[in-house]
Amino acid sequence: MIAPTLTTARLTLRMHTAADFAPYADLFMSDRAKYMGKTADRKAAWNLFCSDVAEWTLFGHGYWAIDLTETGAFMGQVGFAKRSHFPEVELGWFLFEEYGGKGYAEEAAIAARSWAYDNLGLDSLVSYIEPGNTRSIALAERLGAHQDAAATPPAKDVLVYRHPASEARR
Amino acid sequence: MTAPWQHPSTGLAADRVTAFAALVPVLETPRLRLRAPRIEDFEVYRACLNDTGGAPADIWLDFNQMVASWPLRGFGPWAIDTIGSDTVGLLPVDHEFGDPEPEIGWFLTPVARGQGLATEAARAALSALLGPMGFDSIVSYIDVDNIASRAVAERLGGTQVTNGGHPAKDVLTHRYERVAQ
Repeated sequence: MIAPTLTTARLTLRMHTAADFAPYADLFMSDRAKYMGKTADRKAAWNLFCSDVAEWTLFGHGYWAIDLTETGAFMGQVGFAKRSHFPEVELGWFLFEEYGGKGYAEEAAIAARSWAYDNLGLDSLVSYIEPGNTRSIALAERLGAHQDAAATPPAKDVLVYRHPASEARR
Repeated sequence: MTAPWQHPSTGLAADRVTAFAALVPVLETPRLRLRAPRIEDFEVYRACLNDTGGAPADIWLDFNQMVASWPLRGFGPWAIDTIGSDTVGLLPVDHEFGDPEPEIGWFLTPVARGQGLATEAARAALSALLGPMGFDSIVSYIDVDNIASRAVAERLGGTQVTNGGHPAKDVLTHRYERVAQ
Protein backbone atom coordinates (compact mmCIF):
# COMPACT_ATOMS: atom_id res chain seq x y z
CA MET A 1 0.00 0.00 0.00
CA ILE A 2 1.30 3.42 -0.89
CA ALA A 3 0.09 5.30 2.19
CA PRO A 4 1.05 3.80 5.55
CA THR A 5 -1.88 2.91 7.80
CA LEU A 6 -1.76 4.87 11.05
CA THR A 7 -3.82 4.08 14.13
CA THR A 8 -4.74 6.25 17.11
CA ALA A 9 -6.90 5.52 20.15
CA ARG A 10 -10.11 5.72 18.11
CA LEU A 11 -9.07 6.16 14.48
CA THR A 12 -7.57 4.35 11.53
CA LEU A 13 -5.91 6.52 8.89
CA ARG A 14 -5.73 4.62 5.59
CA MET A 15 -5.19 5.09 1.87
CA HIS A 16 -8.27 6.35 0.04
CA THR A 17 -10.20 3.96 -2.17
CA ALA A 18 -12.50 4.79 -5.10
CA ALA A 19 -15.49 4.11 -2.83
CA ASP A 20 -14.60 7.19 -0.78
CA PHE A 21 -15.39 9.46 -3.70
CA ALA A 22 -19.21 9.51 -3.40
CA PRO A 23 -19.33 11.02 0.11
CA TYR A 24 -16.32 13.22 -0.73
CA ALA A 25 -18.16 14.65 -3.74
CA ASP A 26 -21.36 15.17 -1.75
CA LEU A 27 -19.38 17.19 0.79
CA PHE A 28 -17.47 19.28 -1.74
CA MET A 29 -20.68 20.24 -3.50
CA SER A 30 -22.37 21.26 -0.25
CA ASP A 31 -22.19 24.48 1.74
CA ARG A 32 -20.09 22.70 4.34
CA ALA A 33 -17.25 22.98 1.81
CA LYS A 34 -17.56 26.75 1.43
CA TYR A 35 -14.21 27.21 3.18
CA MET A 36 -12.58 24.15 1.57
CA GLY A 37 -12.76 25.11 -2.09
CA LYS A 38 -16.33 24.05 -2.77
CA THR A 39 -16.51 22.54 -6.26
CA ALA A 40 -18.94 23.53 -8.98
CA ASP A 41 -19.72 19.99 -10.07
CA ARG A 42 -18.84 16.35 -9.44
CA LYS A 43 -16.19 16.33 -12.14
CA ALA A 44 -14.29 19.10 -10.33
CA ALA A 45 -14.72 17.16 -7.07
CA TRP A 46 -13.33 14.05 -8.79
CA ASN A 47 -10.24 15.93 -9.95
CA LEU A 48 -9.70 17.29 -6.44
CA PHE A 49 -10.14 13.83 -4.90
CA CYS A 50 -7.65 12.41 -7.40
CA SER A 51 -5.17 15.13 -6.50
CA ASP A 52 -5.44 14.21 -2.80
CA VAL A 53 -4.72 10.58 -3.75
CA ALA A 54 -2.11 11.14 -6.48
CA GLU A 55 0.17 13.20 -4.25
CA TRP A 56 1.07 9.94 -2.48
CA THR A 57 2.49 8.58 -5.72
CA LEU A 58 4.19 11.83 -6.80
CA PHE A 59 5.53 13.12 -3.48
CA GLY A 60 5.28 10.23 -1.01
CA HIS A 61 2.70 12.10 1.04
CA GLY A 62 -0.96 12.90 0.57
CA TYR A 63 -4.34 12.58 2.24
CA TRP A 64 -5.54 9.65 4.33
CA ALA A 65 -9.13 8.60 4.78
CA ILE A 66 -10.16 8.70 8.45
CA ASP A 67 -12.12 5.67 9.61
CA LEU A 68 -13.65 5.19 13.05
CA THR A 69 -11.86 1.99 14.02
CA GLU A 70 -14.72 0.56 16.08
CA THR A 71 -17.31 0.71 13.28
CA GLY A 72 -15.22 1.17 10.13
CA ALA A 73 -17.21 4.30 9.32
CA PHE A 74 -15.47 6.61 6.81
CA MET A 75 -15.56 10.00 8.56
CA GLY A 76 -13.35 12.40 6.62
CA GLN A 77 -9.74 12.97 5.64
CA VAL A 78 -6.50 14.35 6.99
CA GLY A 79 -3.12 14.81 5.41
CA PHE A 80 -0.95 16.97 3.25
CA ALA A 81 -1.31 18.93 0.07
CA LYS A 82 1.45 20.40 -2.04
CA ARG A 83 -0.80 21.84 -4.70
CA SER A 84 0.60 23.93 -7.48
CA HIS A 85 -0.40 27.23 -5.89
CA PHE A 86 0.66 26.37 -2.32
CA PRO A 87 3.89 28.00 -1.09
CA GLU A 88 4.42 25.27 1.55
CA VAL A 89 3.18 21.81 2.42
CA GLU A 90 -0.22 22.13 4.07
CA LEU A 91 -1.71 20.04 6.84
CA GLY A 92 -5.44 19.87 6.18
CA TRP A 93 -8.48 18.04 7.48
CA PHE A 94 -12.23 17.70 7.16
CA LEU A 95 -14.94 15.59 8.71
CA PHE A 96 -18.38 14.84 7.38
CA GLU A 97 -20.96 16.82 9.34
CA GLU A 98 -22.27 13.96 11.48
CA TYR A 99 -18.80 13.23 12.90
CA GLY A 100 -17.94 16.77 14.04
CA GLY A 101 -17.62 17.85 17.66
CA LYS A 102 -16.05 14.67 19.01
CA GLY A 103 -12.36 15.55 18.72
CA TYR A 104 -11.77 13.20 15.81
CA ALA A 105 -10.17 15.86 13.57
CA GLU A 106 -7.76 16.86 16.35
CA GLU A 107 -6.82 13.23 17.01
CA ALA A 108 -6.25 12.62 13.30
CA ALA A 109 -4.29 15.83 12.77
CA ILE A 110 -1.93 15.08 15.67
CA ALA A 111 -1.20 11.63 14.23
CA ALA A 112 -0.67 12.98 10.72
CA ARG A 113 1.56 15.80 11.93
CA SER A 114 3.72 13.44 13.98
CA TRP A 115 4.07 11.15 10.97
CA ALA A 116 5.12 14.09 8.79
CA TYR A 117 7.78 15.26 11.22
CA ASP A 118 9.13 11.74 11.61
CA ASN A 119 8.98 10.74 7.94
CA LEU A 120 9.10 13.73 5.64
CA GLY A 121 12.08 15.61 7.00
CA LEU A 122 9.94 18.74 7.41
CA ASP A 123 10.72 21.27 10.11
CA SER A 124 7.47 23.12 9.75
CA LEU A 125 3.92 22.71 8.49
CA VAL A 126 1.19 25.23 7.79
CA SER A 127 -2.57 25.12 7.57
CA TYR A 128 -4.28 27.52 5.16
CA ILE A 129 -7.62 28.62 6.60
CA GLU A 130 -10.20 31.13 5.45
CA PRO A 131 -11.04 33.81 8.04
CA GLY A 132 -14.68 32.72 8.40
CA ASN A 133 -13.80 29.12 9.15
CA THR A 134 -13.92 29.54 12.90
CA ARG A 135 -14.05 25.82 13.69
CA SER A 136 -10.87 25.10 11.76
CA ILE A 137 -9.16 28.11 13.32
CA ALA A 138 -10.13 26.82 16.77
CA LEU A 139 -8.72 23.40 15.93
CA ALA A 140 -5.49 24.88 14.56
CA GLU A 141 -5.09 26.77 17.84
CA ARG A 142 -5.80 23.64 19.91
CA LEU A 143 -3.05 21.97 17.87
CA GLY A 144 -0.68 24.72 18.98
CA ALA A 145 -0.55 26.51 15.62
CA HIS A 146 -0.31 30.30 15.48
CA GLN A 147 -1.19 32.73 12.75
CA ASP A 148 1.96 33.57 10.77
CA ALA A 149 1.43 36.98 9.22
CA ALA A 150 4.87 36.87 7.57
CA ALA A 151 4.17 33.70 5.59
CA THR A 152 2.97 33.84 1.99
CA PRO A 153 -0.68 32.76 1.68
CA PRO A 154 -1.77 30.65 -1.30
CA ALA A 155 -4.46 33.21 -2.16
CA LYS A 156 -5.67 36.58 -1.00
CA ASP A 157 -7.59 36.60 2.30
CA VAL A 158 -6.36 33.17 3.37
CA LEU A 159 -4.79 32.92 6.83
CA VAL A 160 -1.59 30.95 7.38
CA TYR A 161 -1.44 29.02 10.66
CA ARG A 162 2.01 27.69 11.42
CA HIS A 163 2.30 24.51 13.44
CA PRO A 164 4.85 24.10 16.20
CA ALA A 165 8.17 22.81 14.94
CA SER A 166 8.81 19.12 15.26
CA GLU A 167 10.65 19.35 18.58
CA ALA A 168 7.85 21.41 20.17
CA ARG A 169 4.92 19.18 19.27
CA ARG A 170 3.03 17.32 21.88
CA MET B 1 12.35 25.95 -14.88
CA THR B 2 10.59 24.13 -12.08
CA ALA B 3 9.03 25.74 -9.02
CA PRO B 4 9.89 24.64 -5.46
CA TRP B 5 6.66 22.65 -5.10
CA GLN B 6 7.67 20.53 -8.12
CA HIS B 7 10.94 19.40 -6.58
CA PRO B 8 11.07 15.64 -6.06
CA SER B 9 10.77 14.47 -2.46
CA THR B 10 13.82 13.32 -0.57
CA GLY B 11 14.49 10.84 2.22
CA LEU B 12 11.73 8.52 3.41
CA ALA B 13 9.12 10.28 1.26
CA ALA B 14 11.26 9.54 -1.80
CA ASP B 15 11.42 5.88 -0.74
CA ARG B 16 7.63 5.84 -0.77
CA VAL B 17 7.57 7.26 -4.29
CA THR B 18 10.02 4.53 -5.35
CA ALA B 19 7.81 1.90 -3.73
CA PHE B 20 4.85 3.15 -5.76
CA ALA B 21 6.88 3.09 -8.98
CA ALA B 22 7.79 -0.55 -8.33
CA LEU B 23 4.07 -1.46 -8.47
CA VAL B 24 3.79 -0.23 -12.06
CA PRO B 25 4.88 -2.66 -14.79
CA VAL B 26 7.77 -1.42 -16.92
CA LEU B 27 7.19 -1.99 -20.65
CA GLU B 28 10.05 -2.02 -23.13
CA THR B 29 9.98 -1.68 -26.91
CA PRO B 30 12.88 -1.38 -29.40
CA ARG B 31 13.14 2.37 -28.84
CA LEU B 32 11.12 3.09 -25.69
CA ARG B 33 10.74 2.33 -22.02
CA LEU B 34 7.36 2.94 -20.38
CA ARG B 35 7.43 3.45 -16.59
CA ALA B 36 5.48 4.86 -13.64
CA PRO B 37 4.80 8.61 -13.85
CA ARG B 38 6.62 10.90 -11.42
CA ILE B 39 6.54 14.57 -10.53
CA GLU B 40 9.16 15.48 -13.14
CA ASP B 41 6.77 14.27 -15.85
CA PHE B 42 4.34 17.10 -15.13
CA GLU B 43 6.51 19.52 -17.13
CA VAL B 44 6.74 16.96 -19.94
CA TYR B 45 2.96 16.69 -19.98
CA ARG B 46 2.70 20.49 -20.17
CA ALA B 47 5.14 20.47 -23.09
CA CYS B 48 3.02 17.83 -24.83
CA LEU B 49 -0.07 20.01 -24.52
CA ASN B 50 1.76 22.84 -26.27
CA ASP B 51 -0.21 25.65 -24.58
CA THR B 52 -3.55 24.01 -25.29
CA GLY B 53 -4.26 22.62 -21.83
CA GLY B 54 -5.55 25.70 -20.02
CA ALA B 55 -4.27 27.21 -16.78
CA PRO B 56 -1.35 25.45 -15.05
CA ALA B 57 -3.53 24.70 -11.99
CA ASP B 58 -6.05 22.95 -14.27
CA ILE B 59 -3.31 20.98 -16.04
CA TRP B 60 -2.03 19.97 -12.60
CA LEU B 61 -5.46 18.61 -11.62
CA ASP B 62 -5.73 16.84 -14.97
CA PHE B 63 -2.29 15.24 -14.49
CA ASN B 64 -3.28 14.14 -10.98
CA GLN B 65 -6.55 12.75 -12.28
CA MET B 66 -4.54 10.45 -14.56
CA VAL B 67 -1.89 9.47 -12.01
CA ALA B 68 -4.45 8.69 -9.28
CA SER B 69 -5.83 5.95 -11.49
CA TRP B 70 -2.95 3.66 -10.44
CA PRO B 71 -3.75 3.63 -6.71
CA LEU B 72 -7.53 3.90 -7.19
CA ARG B 73 -8.01 1.45 -10.07
CA GLY B 74 -4.82 -0.53 -10.53
CA PHE B 75 -4.16 0.80 -14.02
CA GLY B 76 -2.97 4.20 -15.09
CA PRO B 77 -0.66 6.29 -17.23
CA TRP B 78 2.90 5.45 -18.20
CA ALA B 79 5.62 8.00 -18.81
CA ILE B 80 7.43 7.36 -22.09
CA ASP B 81 11.24 7.46 -22.07
CA THR B 82 13.45 6.81 -25.05
CA ILE B 83 15.90 4.05 -24.19
CA GLY B 84 18.73 5.61 -22.22
CA SER B 85 17.57 9.13 -22.89
CA ASP B 86 14.83 11.69 -22.44
CA THR B 87 11.22 11.53 -21.41
CA VAL B 88 9.27 12.20 -24.59
CA GLY B 89 5.65 11.84 -23.56
CA LEU B 90 2.88 10.38 -21.51
CA LEU B 91 0.65 7.43 -22.35
CA PRO B 92 -2.56 7.93 -20.36
CA VAL B 93 -4.75 4.99 -19.46
CA ASP B 94 -7.57 6.20 -17.29
CA HIS B 95 -11.29 6.47 -16.85
CA GLU B 96 -12.12 10.14 -17.00
CA PHE B 97 -15.08 11.45 -15.09
CA GLY B 98 -18.26 11.01 -17.13
CA ASP B 99 -16.72 8.76 -19.78
CA PRO B 100 -18.47 5.43 -20.45
CA GLU B 101 -15.30 3.34 -20.06
CA PRO B 102 -11.52 3.50 -19.64
CA GLU B 103 -9.48 4.85 -22.51
CA ILE B 104 -5.94 4.76 -23.83
CA GLY B 105 -4.35 7.87 -25.32
CA TRP B 106 -0.95 9.26 -26.21
CA PHE B 107 0.85 12.55 -25.74
CA LEU B 108 4.27 13.32 -27.20
CA THR B 109 6.39 16.45 -26.95
CA PRO B 110 6.53 18.34 -30.27
CA VAL B 111 10.08 17.16 -31.12
CA ALA B 112 9.16 13.50 -30.59
CA ARG B 113 6.29 13.45 -33.06
CA GLY B 114 6.34 12.00 -36.55
CA GLN B 115 8.60 9.02 -35.76
CA GLY B 116 6.03 6.39 -34.92
CA LEU B 117 6.75 6.61 -31.19
CA ALA B 118 3.11 7.01 -30.14
CA THR B 119 2.17 3.87 -32.06
CA GLU B 120 5.14 1.98 -30.61
CA ALA B 121 4.34 3.00 -27.03
CA ALA B 122 0.60 2.41 -27.33
CA ARG B 123 1.13 -1.00 -28.94
CA ALA B 124 3.20 -2.09 -25.92
CA ALA B 125 0.60 -0.72 -23.53
CA LEU B 126 -2.24 -2.47 -25.38
CA SER B 127 -0.34 -5.78 -25.20
CA ALA B 128 -0.08 -5.38 -21.43
CA LEU B 129 -3.65 -4.14 -20.93
CA LEU B 130 -5.34 -6.73 -23.16
CA GLY B 131 -2.97 -9.44 -21.88
CA PRO B 132 -1.75 -9.74 -18.30
CA MET B 133 -3.68 -6.72 -17.03
CA GLY B 134 -6.95 -8.44 -17.90
CA PHE B 135 -8.86 -5.95 -20.04
CA ASP B 136 -11.20 -7.56 -22.62
CA SER B 137 -11.34 -4.30 -24.51
CA ILE B 138 -10.36 -0.65 -24.25
CA VAL B 139 -11.11 2.42 -26.35
CA SER B 140 -9.59 5.67 -27.56
CA TYR B 141 -11.68 8.82 -27.65
CA ILE B 142 -10.33 11.10 -30.37
CA ASP B 143 -11.57 14.44 -31.66
CA VAL B 144 -12.82 14.02 -35.19
CA ASP B 145 -10.39 16.63 -36.53
CA ASN B 146 -7.30 15.09 -34.85
CA ILE B 147 -6.08 13.37 -38.01
CA ALA B 148 -2.67 12.34 -36.62
CA SER B 149 -4.20 10.62 -33.60
CA ARG B 150 -6.84 8.90 -35.72
CA ALA B 151 -4.03 7.50 -37.87
CA VAL B 152 -2.33 6.10 -34.76
CA ALA B 153 -5.58 4.43 -33.65
CA GLU B 154 -5.93 2.84 -37.07
CA ARG B 155 -2.34 1.60 -37.13
CA LEU B 156 -3.01 0.04 -33.71
CA GLY B 157 -5.90 -1.92 -35.20
CA GLY B 158 -8.60 0.07 -33.47
CA THR B 159 -12.05 -0.38 -34.95
CA GLN B 160 -14.12 2.77 -35.17
CA VAL B 161 -17.46 2.16 -33.48
CA THR B 162 -20.60 4.24 -33.87
CA ASN B 163 -22.14 3.61 -30.46
CA GLY B 164 -19.20 4.53 -28.25
CA GLY B 165 -21.37 6.62 -25.97
CA HIS B 166 -18.88 9.43 -25.32
CA PRO B 167 -20.80 12.48 -24.06
CA ALA B 168 -18.99 15.00 -26.27
CA LYS B 169 -20.01 15.62 -29.85
CA ASP B 170 -17.35 15.19 -32.54
CA VAL B 171 -15.47 12.52 -30.56
CA LEU B 172 -14.77 9.23 -32.30
CA THR B 173 -14.49 5.97 -30.41
CA HIS B 174 -11.95 3.38 -31.55
CA ARG B 175 -12.06 -0.01 -29.85
CA TYR B 176 -9.21 -2.48 -29.33
CA GLU B 177 -10.09 -6.00 -28.26
CA ARG B 178 -8.28 -8.91 -26.71
CA VAL B 179 -7.36 -11.46 -29.37
CA ALA B 180 -8.60 -14.95 -28.55
CA GLN B 181 -5.70 -17.32 -27.90
